[in-house]
This record gives sequence, structure tokens and C-alpha cells, in this order.
Amino acid sequence: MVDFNHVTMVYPGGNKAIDDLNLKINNGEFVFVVGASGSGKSTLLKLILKELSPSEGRVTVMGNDLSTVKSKGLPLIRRQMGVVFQDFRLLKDRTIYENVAFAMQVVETPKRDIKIRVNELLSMVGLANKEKAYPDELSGGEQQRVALARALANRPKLLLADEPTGNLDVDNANEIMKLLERANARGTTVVVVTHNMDVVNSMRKRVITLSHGILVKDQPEGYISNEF
Amino acid sequence: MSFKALGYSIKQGFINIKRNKMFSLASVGTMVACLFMLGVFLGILINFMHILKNAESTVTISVFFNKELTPEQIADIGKNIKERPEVDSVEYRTAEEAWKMFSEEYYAGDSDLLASFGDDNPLGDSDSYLVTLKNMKDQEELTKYLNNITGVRSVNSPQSTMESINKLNGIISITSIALIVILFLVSIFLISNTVVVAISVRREEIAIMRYIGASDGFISGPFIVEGVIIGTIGAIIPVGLLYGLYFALLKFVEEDLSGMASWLQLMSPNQIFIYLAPICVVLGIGIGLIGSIHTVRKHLKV
Ligand SMILES: Nc1ncnc2c1ncn2[C@@H]1O[C@H](COP(=O)(O)OP(=O)(O)OP(=O)(O)O)[C@@H](O)[C@H]1O
Ligand SMILES: [Mg+2]
Repeated sequence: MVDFNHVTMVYPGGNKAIDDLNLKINNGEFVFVVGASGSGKSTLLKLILKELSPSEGRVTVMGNDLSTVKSKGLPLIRRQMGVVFQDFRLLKDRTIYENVAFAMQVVETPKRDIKIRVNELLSMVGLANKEKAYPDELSGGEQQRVALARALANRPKLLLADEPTGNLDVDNANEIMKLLERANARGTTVVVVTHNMDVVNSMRKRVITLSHGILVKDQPEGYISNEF
Repeated sequence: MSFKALGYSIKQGFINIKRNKMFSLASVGTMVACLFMLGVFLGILINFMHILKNAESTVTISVFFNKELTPEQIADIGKNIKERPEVDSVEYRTAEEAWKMFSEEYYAGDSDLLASFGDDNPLGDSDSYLVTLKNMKDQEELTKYLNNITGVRSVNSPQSTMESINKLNGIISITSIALIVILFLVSIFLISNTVVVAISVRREEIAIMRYIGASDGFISGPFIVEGVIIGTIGAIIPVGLLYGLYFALLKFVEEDLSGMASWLQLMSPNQIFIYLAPICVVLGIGIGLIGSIHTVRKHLKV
């Protein structure tokens, strides 16, 4: 699904955010990425999204060597990925329904299919009754669930989540993780960046630890003892 | 781009304009001014050419002879003139005929002015040839030639009038073109600015669209549509204005300037607008496209 081959990412200005990384994430896996602030976790996700191109090495996603993907082909790859950001990134001038529908609109899904799918997603994240509300009228946990519904709208093969529980209390965090697990159970490969020790430890999934851009630990059914 | 995406772009393009009224209005306003001036200029030019063409067929050069010339000599001169390639026809005219025709043509309906000449025939008591040209541009050359014929006393051609009209025409053209070019550039600049504002308002949305996998065409469509809408509105308004004004002008010429109407033959609105309307609309849409595509390329990096 995702393959990093001797990938180094140096930002303009000289910051080395990823340092000679080798990493393989298989189809159907659920992976946590942990590490201290500034260790390169978000950069790793951005490389998978091809928002950034590596200074050295090769990133392969779903069989595509990203260095050879042209700007025309990139949208087609991204359509198979879903992204959840820590800060939700919902459109404030659109309702919850419209926010989720938007993801399907931009890939030109027929209106009728959009309606069915959005209703299904909103029920799944427990927000069917809030479809007419605007993001500002929702709690942080609810907004995060909307963001997740949007990320799942196009049935992505790969789901990337950058601190999806960062702003949430324990209950909300567990709620989100359950939804991610369910998506994973249906075949979506999930990569979650998190600081949340409890979440990681309760799930017993593969854990990848970064430190200064270097992969320092890769544990199946990992357990972490220090809060980052 | 699919039909569905086009529908989306058009809807979002209108939303862009609604959200961004001030800039959109400024852009439309400039385009209206620009195309209105272009329309006035083209209207004048087309009519001017029309009038010149009419005049060409009627403009004649009068050739007067020295009194002592014999009828044979006069006939010879007539024959020589007739043989010139640029000459269409040569007509012999007695002094009385010439004066009658002249006074009818130029002082029609103005009997006071005519009366002031009394019985004085200002053309003198000489007969003349009336030379008609095939093409008015040969007028200067022919006049020179006629002046050099021995026995010719004077050549009377409307050259100086034509020259000053031509000169005026040139000045009007250059000024108008300069002004129009400037306004075009300002229009493009304003549309570009309008689109920049629309893009910055939608920055977040565009970023999300990119993550979701929207195509470049889908992302940039609304902004290009926005430019085209502004361009189209900016073209339709001046065409409408010009059409109304032209009707008013025609009415004015017909009713209040009927004395001049013999030479002031304006074209019918349809004759003019069959050219003017498409030119304005194509230019409007073109400006909209140039302004928006250029900006979208630069700011969305598509
Ligand atoms: N746009 C950028 N330009 C230059 N340097 C950057 C940029 N983005 C990140 N960095 C640097 O790269 C390093 C890794 O950043 P990154 O955002 O990947 O960290 P992170 O692990 O996600 O941190 P956090 O947990 O705080 O989100 C940091 O040292 C950061 O300062
Ligand atoms: Mg980060």
C-alpha cells in the first residue's frame, strides 16, 4: 500500500524532517505513527499525499511511484485516499451535510448517490440529526466525526489521520478510534499519527516511532510507555 | 470537463461574483466603459466609411478653361482626360448649368443664402468639364495632372475638405485606439484582481479540494466562469446602450438635421450591429478569459 525507500526530506531552509526512512505498510494494516513534536510525523503523511516531494529516495503509494506521477494523475490517486486533519478543516459556510457531500461532488458523483452515501455516513458517525447544522454549532468531537465522515465518503483504500483525537476528551477520542477501526475492518488501510498514549495502548496495533526524522522503533501490537 | 462539472462551475462562478460585489462591479464597469467607447468609435468609423463611399460616387472635379480656347481645343482636353485610367466619366457643362446644379446641391432649402449671391454667378462665365473619379484616392494625382494641362484656367476639387476630414479621422482613430487599449488593459487587470480575491476567499476550500482529489479543471472552473460572466455582462450592457443611443441619433438626424440629410446618410442599426454586437461580445468574453485564465494559472498553479 505504502512504501518508503531510503526517503529523506529536507525542507527549504535546511530542516531535515525525515532521514533515510525505509517503511512498508501493507494492504489492510492499521498503523500508529508516534514521536515527539517535530519528529517528522506530519511530514511523513504529506509525503504519502504528495503534498511534498522527497529530497531523496522514493515513495510508492498503491503501486504508483509518486515521483513519476504528473499533476494530472495526482487527483486520481488522492481520490483513493481519505485525510483527517487535527484541525478538522471543515468549510464553515456549509452545513454538515454539504461538507460531506462536497467530497463526493468534487469527484463528480451523481447527486442521487451522494444523498444515499452522505446519509449513511452521517448515521455511522452518529450525526444524522445534525445534517443541517453548521460546523461552528458542533462540539470538537462532533466536528472531528464530520471530518472523518468526509474522509470516508469516497470509500478510500487508504485513510490518513493526523492527530484525529488531539483536541478531544477520552470518550470522544475512543469514539473516533472505533470508527477508524470499523473502516479498517472493512478493508481500508489506516495510518494514524497521534500523541495519545492511552489510545495507542488500548488498541494493540502496529506502532512506528519517529525521532528527529529517523525510524527508531517499529513494533507489531506496540505499546508505548512515555507520553510524547 | 463533464456536463456536471460545468454546471458546478457556473453555479460557483455566480457565487464568487455575489460574494465579491465591489470588485465584480468595478470590473464590469470598466469593461462597459471600454466596450462602449469601442462601440462609439466603430460606429463612427463604419458610418464614416459608408458616407465616404457614398461621396466617392458623387464627388466630382470641375475643370475650367481659358476663355480664348476654341471648342476643338476644349474637346481635345476632354478626350485626354477621359483617357486617364482613374477617370470614370467626363461631362461637359455650361456655366449656367453648373451654377444651377451647384446652388441646388449645396444650398438646398437655404434660399436666403442663395439670394445673397444675387445674379452673380460665382463660377464666372466659363464652361467646364465635370470629371468623376473611379476611386477617390486618385484625386490628388488627377488634380495635379489637370492643373498642368495648358488652357485649363482652374481646377476645383473638394480636396481640401477631404484632406481635413481624413486628418480628423486619423486623429480620432489614434486617440480612440490608445484609449481603448488602455481600458482593455485596465479591464484585464481588474478581472484578474477580482479573480485573485475570489481565490483567496476560497483558499481553504481549494486546499481541501486538492486533498480530496478534485481535478485542476474542477478547481479552476468557477474562477474562469467568473471571468467569463463579468466579460459577458460587460459586453451586453454597452451593446444595449449603443443600440438605444444609435436609434436616438438616427431619429435626431432624420428630424432635426434633415437639411444635411442628403449627404449624412447613416447606416441602419441592423447594418451596424451585425458587426458591432459580435465584436463586443467576443472581446468581452475574450477579456474575461484572458484575465481569469492567466490569474488561475498563476495563483492555483494548474
Ligand atoms: N514548511 C516547513 N518548512 C520548514 N520546516 C518545516 C516545515 N514544516 C515542518 N518543518 C520542520 O520539519 C520538522 C518536522 O515537522 P513535522 O510537522 O513533520 O513534525 P511533527 O512530528 O508533525 O510535529 P507535531 O507533533 O508538533 O505536529 C520540524 O523540525 C519542523 O520544524
Ligand atoms: Mg504534526
